[in-house]
Amino acid sequence: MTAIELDPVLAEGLAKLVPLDESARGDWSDVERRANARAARRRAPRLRLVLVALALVVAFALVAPALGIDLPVLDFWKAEKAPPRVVEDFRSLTEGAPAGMDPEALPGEARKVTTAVLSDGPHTLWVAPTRAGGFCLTWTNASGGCDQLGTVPLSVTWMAAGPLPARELRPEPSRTSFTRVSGFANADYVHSIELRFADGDVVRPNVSWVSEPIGAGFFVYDLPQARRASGHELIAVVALDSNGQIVAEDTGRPSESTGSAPPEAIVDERTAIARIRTRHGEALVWEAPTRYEGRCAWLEYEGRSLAFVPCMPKGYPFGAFAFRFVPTADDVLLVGWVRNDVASVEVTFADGDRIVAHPQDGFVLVELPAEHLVRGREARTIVSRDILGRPLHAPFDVNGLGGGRYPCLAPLPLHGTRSGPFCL
Amino acid sequence: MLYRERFPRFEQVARAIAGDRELAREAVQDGFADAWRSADLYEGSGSVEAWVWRCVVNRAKRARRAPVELLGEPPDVAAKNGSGEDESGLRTRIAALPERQRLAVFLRYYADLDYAAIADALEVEVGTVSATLNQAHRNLRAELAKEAR
Repeated sequence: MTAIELDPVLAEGLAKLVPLDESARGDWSDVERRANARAARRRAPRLRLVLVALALVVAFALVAPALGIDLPVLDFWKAEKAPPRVVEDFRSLTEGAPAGMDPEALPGEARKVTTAVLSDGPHTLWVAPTRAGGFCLTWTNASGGCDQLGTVPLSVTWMAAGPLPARELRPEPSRTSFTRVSGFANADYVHSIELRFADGDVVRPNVSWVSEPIGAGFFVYDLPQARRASGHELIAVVALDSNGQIVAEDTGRPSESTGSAPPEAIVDERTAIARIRTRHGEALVWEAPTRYEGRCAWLEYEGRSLAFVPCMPKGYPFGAFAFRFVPTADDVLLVGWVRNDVASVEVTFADGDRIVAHPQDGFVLVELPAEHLVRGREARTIVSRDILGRPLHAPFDVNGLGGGRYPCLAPLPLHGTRSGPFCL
Repeated sequence: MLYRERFPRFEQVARAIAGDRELAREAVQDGFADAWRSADLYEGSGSVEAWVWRCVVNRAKRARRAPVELLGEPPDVAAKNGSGEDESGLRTRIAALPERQRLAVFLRYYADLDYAAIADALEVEVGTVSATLNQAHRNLRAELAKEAR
């Protein structure tokens, strides 16, 4: 194509009309302030946004010409539609899913959200809505996933070098080995994302917010070498609400015993669900709502707290029995969150003994008898049963469980000698 | 850095669109803030500079005082500064152009952008830029020819 030459007469005239001011200087710090201020106010809770929007309708009609409405959210329906190759990828999620695992994505509605240029090249994020109001996503040459119901507050994938495994497949829990984090946050609950580092640094990654029907923001962050050194590594990805309170947190590791309740729980509204007397005092299961309409449960024992199951978003059910063995100083507790139709939980030991625990408001909490904390008398299987005593699933092989191992491989102290933890 | 090196050009184009120096500076600041804040939405299909120009032009369009006050200083001020009827006439003719033609002229003459960058900045096809500038030149030359007679 041939470019039109500049018309010298016109150029001269235009230069006189609006002369170039070579001395004009900007203020970059002012640009930063404006960008940050807008980013901070743009993610108001939806209800508040609706109310404000209604209130603005009249005002907008009056001042619209001068009003710059600025909602930097990608309009999903106006985004670029996915090519056939990507549509097929989303279709395979549905067609290849095991029974009950179909996210019911709508492949034909998949659209491009963004392209991020990362250390290993560009990656494009494609998102498809699901029938149930959620979405599935895929990054080209990287990870993907689904939030079928659209209620997950925060999902984080921690990645080592190269094409990245799903979170549960990551080979190394050491945080210094992670080179990248990506994820999404639910726009109904989350206002901003923070990356928190061991040295106290906090980084707010760019988040690509997408309108309904997706209603989520997506982020990806390459961790530079300096942020992978011990003492400077990423220790948590935190989702905050508009008041700066933690909505959800992901530390890249299974939950550990701490001195406090899960940060996602609204502790002031907690309820004691189950409690037992142990050799070292009371053990207690608490349940509390979250800031994302979900629920959290944690075990409190010996002055410590443990989120023994992940806090659950609204609408997502547990399986028949989500449980964990919890080692204490010289003891083992079995704690779990069970489905409503579970009437009893039976533990069978290697010597033929059995114990039966009954859920309290959906939770099981039991102290394993001391005589069964030794080799040869250890727990072997667990099964949950309905009210008629019928098993609700095949017995779990205790030693084959991924969430914890029992029994311990060394003789256990049974009479006051403290050594531990010894089971997880 | 684009901001530091090209600020006078951004300010000039924004001033041409908004018709006011202060509004122009605001538009440039807000435009860069928009570009920076939404960098994750940048699709990488054009130059980064064109992306920033798009943001600044959009801000300047929103900020302008009125459709008829499109260029620089008002005629009476320009006259006092030594400009005359030629500039006043050109101002009127530029103001009379359809918006896309006017913006394309500004980006071509003030910002010195090529067609691809103008296309990105105005969110149109490159061929549209060519046609738009052709049309703008025809309109302006016709007026210039009338004045010359």
